[in-house]
Amino acid sequence: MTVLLQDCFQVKGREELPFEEALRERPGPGQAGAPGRLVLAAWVPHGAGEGYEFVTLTELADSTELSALYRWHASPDGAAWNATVQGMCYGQLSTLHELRHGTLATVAAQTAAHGGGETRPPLYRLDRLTVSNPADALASVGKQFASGPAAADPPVMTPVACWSPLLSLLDTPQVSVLYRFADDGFRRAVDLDSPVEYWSGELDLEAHATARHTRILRGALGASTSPAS
Amino acid sequence: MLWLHQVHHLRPATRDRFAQVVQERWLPEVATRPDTRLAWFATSTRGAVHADEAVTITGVADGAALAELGARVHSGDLTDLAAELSSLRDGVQTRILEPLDYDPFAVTSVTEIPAQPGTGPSRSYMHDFVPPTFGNMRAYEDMMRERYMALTEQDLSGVALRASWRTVPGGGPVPEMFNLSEIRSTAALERLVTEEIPREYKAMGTWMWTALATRDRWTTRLLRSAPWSPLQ
Repeated sequence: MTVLLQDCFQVKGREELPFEEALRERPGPGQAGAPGRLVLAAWVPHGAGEGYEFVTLTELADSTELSALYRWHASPDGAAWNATVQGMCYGQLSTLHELRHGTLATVAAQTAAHGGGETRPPLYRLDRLTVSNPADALASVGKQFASGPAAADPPVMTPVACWSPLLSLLDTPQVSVLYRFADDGFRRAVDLDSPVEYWSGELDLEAHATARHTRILRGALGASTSPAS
Repeated sequence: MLWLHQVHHLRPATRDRFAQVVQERWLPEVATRPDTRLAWFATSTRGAVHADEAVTITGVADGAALAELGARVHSGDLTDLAAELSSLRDGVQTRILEPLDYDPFAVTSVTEIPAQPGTGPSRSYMHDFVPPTFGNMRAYEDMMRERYMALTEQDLSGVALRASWRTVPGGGPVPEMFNLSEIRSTAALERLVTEEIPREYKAMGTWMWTALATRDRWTTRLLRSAPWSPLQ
């Protein structure tokens, strides 16, 4: 069982750079000294969602590590981190999930390796689907993960992980899928001369989804991030 | 001149059907009256915030024409067609907008909007709803007129503002500005998403720093206009 802590921060515009610096200099959940492993830290770029939204994903090995995270939040270090980070935000939505399919290992490696500054950041797409029947939707995702991409050509993007609320039907019936863009994937998808209507690599969940919320994510933080183990 | 702006949240797998009904039946039917015309139709890319979405912009001459359009939909020649379109979506956000004084949009009268479908090509757009901080709408408008409009397309990395409108009383979230910007090239679109803005552009005293005092929240979408959209 892998637990995922997903945090979406609505950062104040003028705090954009200080916010990133604070995350680098004052490690939070999943970073040095705190339980878990930070596997994703990314901005929603302009054109792709809400302004100044920052998303983090922290992987927790099991429920014991989740308890340890709660203890860390109650500690002086945790309280100081929360006060610093939340002081730069309008809001934060923090949710718990269970990883159902795929792995975040390559995403974690990309997050740790991204050099920031001049280097090209990794690009992802995070879909949150509201589904009529989570069990059926997750089963469909599982089959598609197992069968691999259908397209003969290199897909625009590749699904890497799927998660749903830790509390299952006690929570909103949603399924999240994280995709990683191929190096030239985004360019191919939005090419003005030959636009791609449906981005290849996307899982077919039309029959299950009643609504789809999606964000493009641009990897952030860079090499000074404590690497995920 | 008013603009009726609608974001249609489409039901799964209805995207093509919705576009077809708008193009073949809604567009000509709306245009049977001289003071109302469908001007623009676009759909969200697969990376837009909510999917699937269609965005329509309808030009309306004035308040009387707006009321007449409402009456036509409520119990007139557009009732059945509006119900059919409604059955293809889960929801709709409707705003009534008016141009700001520096609005670069080329069309200023309903009669300038073609009454027939266009012939393309489609273009790529960044579509932003921007609520200023409360009490700062005027300051934000001044900032846009005096600072933003002075920037060149090169300054803006290949993005060109095409329309800048605001919500009128009774027309939706207030205060709020709507900005529609054309993305001139694939490279510009790729840069927009993949590259961070250089730190020096965000330094104290820059346009960006100053403007953040008046607004720092927005909802932004990447859209592509339909080839048949009357205006591109």
